Amino acid sequence: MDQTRYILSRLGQSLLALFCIITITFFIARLAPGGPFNDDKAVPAHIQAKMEAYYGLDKPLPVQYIKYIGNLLTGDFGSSFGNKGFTVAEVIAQGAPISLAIGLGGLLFALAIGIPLGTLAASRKNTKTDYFSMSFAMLGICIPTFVVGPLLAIFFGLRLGWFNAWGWFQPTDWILPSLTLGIYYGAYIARLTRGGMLEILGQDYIRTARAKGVSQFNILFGHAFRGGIIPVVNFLGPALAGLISGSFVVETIFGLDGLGQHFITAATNRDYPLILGTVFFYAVLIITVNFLVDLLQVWLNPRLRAARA
Amino acid sequence: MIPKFLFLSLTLASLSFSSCSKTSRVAEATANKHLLLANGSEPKALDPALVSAVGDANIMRALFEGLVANHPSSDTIVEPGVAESWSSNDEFTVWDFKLRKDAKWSNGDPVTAGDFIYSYHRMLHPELASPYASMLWFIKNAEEFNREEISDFSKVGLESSSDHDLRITLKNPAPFFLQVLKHTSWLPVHQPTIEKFGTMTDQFTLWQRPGNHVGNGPFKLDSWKINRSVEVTPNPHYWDRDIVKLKKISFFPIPNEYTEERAFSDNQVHNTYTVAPSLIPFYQKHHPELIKIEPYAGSYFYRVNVNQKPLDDPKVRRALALAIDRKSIVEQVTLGGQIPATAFTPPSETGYSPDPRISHDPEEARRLLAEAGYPGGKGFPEINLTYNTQDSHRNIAVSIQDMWRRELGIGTINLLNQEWKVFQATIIDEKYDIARAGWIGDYTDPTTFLNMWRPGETNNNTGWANEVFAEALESASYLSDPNARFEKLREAENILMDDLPIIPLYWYTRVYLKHPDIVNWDPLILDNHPYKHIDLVSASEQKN
Repeated sequence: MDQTRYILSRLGQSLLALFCIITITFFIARLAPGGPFNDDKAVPAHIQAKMEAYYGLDKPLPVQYIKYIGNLLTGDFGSSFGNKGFTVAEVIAQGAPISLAIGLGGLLFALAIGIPLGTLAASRKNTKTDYFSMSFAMLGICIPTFVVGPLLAIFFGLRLGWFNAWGWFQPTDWILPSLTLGIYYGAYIARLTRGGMLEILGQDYIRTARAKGVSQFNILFGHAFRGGIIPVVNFLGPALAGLISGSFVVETIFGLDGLGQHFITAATNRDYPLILGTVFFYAVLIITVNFLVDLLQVWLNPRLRAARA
Repeated sequence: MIPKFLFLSLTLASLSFSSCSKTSRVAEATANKHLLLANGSEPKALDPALVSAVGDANIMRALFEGLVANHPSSDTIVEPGVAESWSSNDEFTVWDFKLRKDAKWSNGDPVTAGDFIYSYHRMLHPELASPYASMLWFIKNAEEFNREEISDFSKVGLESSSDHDLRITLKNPAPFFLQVLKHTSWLPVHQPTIEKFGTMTDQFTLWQRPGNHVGNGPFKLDSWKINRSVEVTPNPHYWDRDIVKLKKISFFPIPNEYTEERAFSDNQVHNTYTVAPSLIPFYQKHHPELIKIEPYAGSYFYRVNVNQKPLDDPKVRRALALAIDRKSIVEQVTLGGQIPATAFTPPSETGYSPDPRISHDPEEARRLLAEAGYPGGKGFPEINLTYNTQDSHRNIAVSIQDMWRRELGIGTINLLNQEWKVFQATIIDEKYDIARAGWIGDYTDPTTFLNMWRPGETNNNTGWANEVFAEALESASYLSDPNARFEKLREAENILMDDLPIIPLYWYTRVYLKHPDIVNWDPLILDNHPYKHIDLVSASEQKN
């Protein structure tokens, strides 16, 4: 019963958050100077006025807002101003799978890089291996994706010729973009894993296990690991959201037609419906992921359950 | 600054060790006659009445054909399109077009004179709100219809006596009218298709989707994936289909110039849309056979707000213009072989060249500034030099700021960068002192550069309203003798250059990378290549 009430209240909070996000985005987007129909060559005023009327932009802002929310409730996100003739739903449906694919791929790389590196560093604390691993992690966090991306494209794409340096044609084309995204989060996860593992490795039961002659491997993976990666599990929610929504740079570098590009170009084009559509999509995604992570934590940890009940 | 430098050096490094170990996509595409074109940004639409960007027009030329067409290697020669022949009266005001009987839409329907009248009616219809409707204002009463001053379309100068005879009556003599007709705004659309998916004036209906789209060009729409590609394949009903050599064209939107360079180095595309200035010297040194630098009908300049003190004084404007060393800007900043501007209209094959009125003359600039009351720049108020956020614009602005300080002693110029749409609004509202601008000609005639400076024109935005200038243009528009007309236009341009509501900087070039497999792609001042003539032949076969 408590569980159900908790879930319902979280659901209510999520919907309220979503509503606030949409409302704020709607008005902020309109505050920016310039409009969707300003272009390289200015069009005569009477044509500008007709275009605005055609899209209902001549109406007072509150009227437009109410109309937008009304349409949203019926599942209508409107039509894009920048990609003319396409509805916002179509644009998102076309771009989202690609962003999701490289985002999930990025998460796989991040875990595959971060957890072994962090565990290794923790098990060889304050040795050269530790310093080397953590320097590498620091580097991964510090070097921005717009440097890592071209570097990978040049090395694995142009020099070694293993992958395409650009485009989305073959199944292997997700590897370099995902790796670019994964390195940053992998570096972060390595640091979290090291911290988590060190905390557990310092505990009494580990000392007891060592005293009983349990092998280093068994200590690390049999005894310490489950507790050691809790910080990583907590980080997965924000990481996944960041991976999926933060792909603009990577999409630009590798020429992918994902949603990240639309997220940015909608704003620069003053494509109001698409700005709202992408913000809505990402908001739902992030809220859902956080919600699931919360549920997971409650399920995993009886103490949390008691505290909330 | 540092990441940008890294970015650049990495890109440069990429070139030096690119390898050919894998089967190249370009080699395969060449063998299949599949042209892979980097085309700048994503098209806004695939409807000739509703596009305005240069990249969009590139796709339109594959999908549609107007009355006349572009020549593959000449800017002035007019190729027949749907019209197989044409004639005009001596005044160049009444034009008769004889339409070929075998012209077909991609669904097999014949292309008729009625289709053109329908298309121009739609284009000019105020409710469609076409951004480029003003290109059709050459037609008698077209502007009035577009502005809703008349509602009877039959008063507009378009008539057909049969399916294959089209007469266009113009407002004023236009000896250059055939050049205007090459523009995308004059392309026809298929009435039954438009009206199957909406009314004549509905914008952006489903008619422009693959499967629905009907055109009359050498190619037809095969697929359109947003931000990925537009693909076209030969139109089996095209009247001149035997000349079409390509089996497919893919237009890729690649807005980032470093990304497209990597795609080109990786043999993923046959060309690039542009080249980052910082990469130009590298290609010129190591791959001169790949980089193309060609004259382009565009002018880079600064707008000056003539209502703003002290810029309301023509002497101040001239002083600022003469203090700029344009040669050093093109040689050290833009690097793309641009031509230092001596007037506004770029010279072209049309026969028109403006009188050189602007040069680098710091001596005279200092004298004028002193005359205007600011000797040695003393007392010159603070003004803003505004540009849209982009490295190349900033670099030019920085050098000009420096030249004005060095030559004129003006140290009160602030650089102000604005995001593109904000910048657009600033210009339209005339809330600037000096602002960066560029203008690309729509057709090869000086009026495409000069008309915009008439009082109250949409793209004037300088506050400059000179009646003498307007009268010179007006009287030129009644002249049917090309030479007399050019003489009058030159007179108008001289007025513009004496008063200087704008400071011309340089004339554009097209800088891009081109794979040697592309055949029949020659320099054109408007860069409007007719795809039906283009072929792909691997470099080794070309030698045989």
